[in-house]
Amino acid sequence: MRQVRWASWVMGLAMALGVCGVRPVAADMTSDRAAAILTWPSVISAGVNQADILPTGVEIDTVIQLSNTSTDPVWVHCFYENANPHCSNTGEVCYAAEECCNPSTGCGICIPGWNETDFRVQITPRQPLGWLASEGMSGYSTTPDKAFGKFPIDGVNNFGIGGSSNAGSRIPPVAEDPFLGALRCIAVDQDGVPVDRNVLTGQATLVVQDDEEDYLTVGKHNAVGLLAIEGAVNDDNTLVIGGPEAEYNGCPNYLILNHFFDGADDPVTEGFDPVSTILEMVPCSDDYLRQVPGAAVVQYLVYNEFEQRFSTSRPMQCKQFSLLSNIDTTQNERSIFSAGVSGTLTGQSRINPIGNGLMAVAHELHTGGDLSLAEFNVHYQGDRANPDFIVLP
Amino acid sequence: MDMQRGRIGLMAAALVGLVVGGAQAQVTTEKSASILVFPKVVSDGTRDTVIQITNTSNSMVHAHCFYVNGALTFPELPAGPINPPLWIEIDFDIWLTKQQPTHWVVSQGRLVNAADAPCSNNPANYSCNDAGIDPGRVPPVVEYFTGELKCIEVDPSGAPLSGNHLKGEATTTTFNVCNPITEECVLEPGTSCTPGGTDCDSSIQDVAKYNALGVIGNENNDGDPVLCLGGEPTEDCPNGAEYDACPQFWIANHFAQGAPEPAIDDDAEVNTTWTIVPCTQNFETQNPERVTIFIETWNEFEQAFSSFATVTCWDELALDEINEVTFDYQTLGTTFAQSRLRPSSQTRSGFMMVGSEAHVYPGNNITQTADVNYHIEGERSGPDLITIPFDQVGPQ
Repeated sequence: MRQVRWASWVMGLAMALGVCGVRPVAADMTSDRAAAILTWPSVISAGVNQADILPTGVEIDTVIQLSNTSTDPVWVHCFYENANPHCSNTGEVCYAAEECCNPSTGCGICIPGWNETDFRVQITPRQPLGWLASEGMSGYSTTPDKAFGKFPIDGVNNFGIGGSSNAGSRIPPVAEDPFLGALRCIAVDQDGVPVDRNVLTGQATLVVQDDEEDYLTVGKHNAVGLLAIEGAVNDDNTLVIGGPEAEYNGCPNYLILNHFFDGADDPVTEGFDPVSTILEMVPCSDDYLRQVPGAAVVQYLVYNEFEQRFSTSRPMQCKQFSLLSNIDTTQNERSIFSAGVSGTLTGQSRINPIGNGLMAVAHELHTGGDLSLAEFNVHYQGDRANPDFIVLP
Repeated sequence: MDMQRGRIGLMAAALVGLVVGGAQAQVTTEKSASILVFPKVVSDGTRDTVIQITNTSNSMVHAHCFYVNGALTFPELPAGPINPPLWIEIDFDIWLTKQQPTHWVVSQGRLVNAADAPCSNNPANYSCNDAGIDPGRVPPVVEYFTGELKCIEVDPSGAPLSGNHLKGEATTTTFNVCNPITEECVLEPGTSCTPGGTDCDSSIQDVAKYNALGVIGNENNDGDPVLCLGGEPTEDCPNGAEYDACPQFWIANHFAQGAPEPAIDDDAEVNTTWTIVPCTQNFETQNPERVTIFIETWNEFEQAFSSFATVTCWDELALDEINEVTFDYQTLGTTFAQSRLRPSSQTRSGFMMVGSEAHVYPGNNITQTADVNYHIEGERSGPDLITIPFDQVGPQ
């Protein structure tokens, strides 16, 4: 029963974002090195009052961690990207068309959305910071035990090395509840001009709790980094990612995802405990100036353990949040990503974006008993010949 | 003409490799590599691990794999001079056809059986663990196994090869069974139980996943049994670095030990464990490598604390086991910390690590875990050597 509840929520969310999707070089993307641009492809937050979208009692939040690995302070300019669709009649957040029907307004359309909220943070040398997506970070708590959600160094009562501080920093909570989106942070100087400093690392921890069913689960992945090319970053507001005029390393030609096929029986547990995977992708390109998200047609080559190959493709814009077995069909059991069709338990999917480059993380759902979540970063191969662009306001 | 240019280019590249000794990239968790290291592989009755390995190339790939059991001789007793790690290795070969993914459960291994039924919708068969082209005969691990798995890409004769065609993941499942030592349910801290009984809620499980650490091979690999990770040419490594070097620094962003879990209102807390293996390993002499690690930890106030850890062969260390004070939430005074770990200057080996973050919820009486790959910085100057028994290299 619980499995059905989860499946319906994930499916609804995925279908809504599927609709949202349609629009749009030198070295590598990285999730294991400090970088100048960090992207968290998955930022999710939903309070307990979201009974229309989540099962009653379920609450989801994301703990964001952001650190400076250098011995000098660094400023970052960050953008929350809100990928929530909204009802045309009520303006409320929707993840399925039927959520836009009510007796007073009739039925509206669930329209894909994308807008950004930006903020700046100053991070002192070697400083680790963290906040909840639903709450953000503001104010100061300058003595241990530091209050969570507040900055530690105010530049008035205390200072960091060389007089550095978090003065001028404020992180807003995500723009809506529920929120499904992404976060991108760019290393800049005091004036907000992008700089070639590969000093940022980040993580996201997704925490899911269900007070009704009395269970919790957590998953963690690294933010995806783009390395700045030393000396190449100029002071304009267009960041060139890859290509012949690259300021930052390019996005990859292929994302490589090793996964269980959806519906596969978890091989370590007794009884039927299905495993499924949600793939969450965002484009490398974004135009924050004109509020135009990146887009791509995404080609999937799927190999099973018999070396048999299947393929499908699907356009996406701004964000894709989908069960693997909902990428090519709404009927999961007929998908090439389902165990029953593919014929083996695990597979390799090679994801080739046409249009803008892509970044991705995966959430693996083990749903036999209480939901248990595992997250991981995908692998990358090759560099795109064409550049991606991030345009700052 | 073009062919000649190509040859000259190849020769030049080879010469550069010989002179410079390679070692430019380091360990990776996001690219295909020639050596895969799974630092945390556990099958101990309360946990089991699924290994996934994939060939990312369009050619057949062979790999020689080593399970290294780092369990204590008497696992239920504390470590000490009379209770050292076992450091027992067993090895096996796998081969993967083009782009082939494979997997196995370490407690079960994967036996060769062409009659394994494929997964199917009609008739419904989703319990199809062994369906697919078997990658070889993968042995199960012993009953109590806590250690690592290392797979080295080789050519069909068994000689190490810098193909960079392998990627992998490890999924650890923790079962909510009764811990026979503490007599508490593993995932429900404080809930007493009878060992072997059914007191623990079996619907609770905990799954965590990390990417295997990859070491990228360079073009000057001579295929001998001594694999040189980084460094300049030496007697053992006449070609210099055959593989990229182990990192000089590991950067771990983590919660302070015992820090309140920010997303939960109860008295929930977060505890971190690091699993560490040395980069240098001698499978010929079976001498366990020992590495001393210097750790510098920064809190959110930019205040630094330092500590040391010593790891022989393999270890899974909770932060408060490394040092009760420097990682503690009360000491650090902030929820988050950044730790930078490096081999101490007198240590001859680098090391590799993954983290495991346990979120403990006393209110709900549940523990849930997330594995995490850490960041790296710099590369070690000296070579780390992985020595394979010579009769495992070359024609079988």
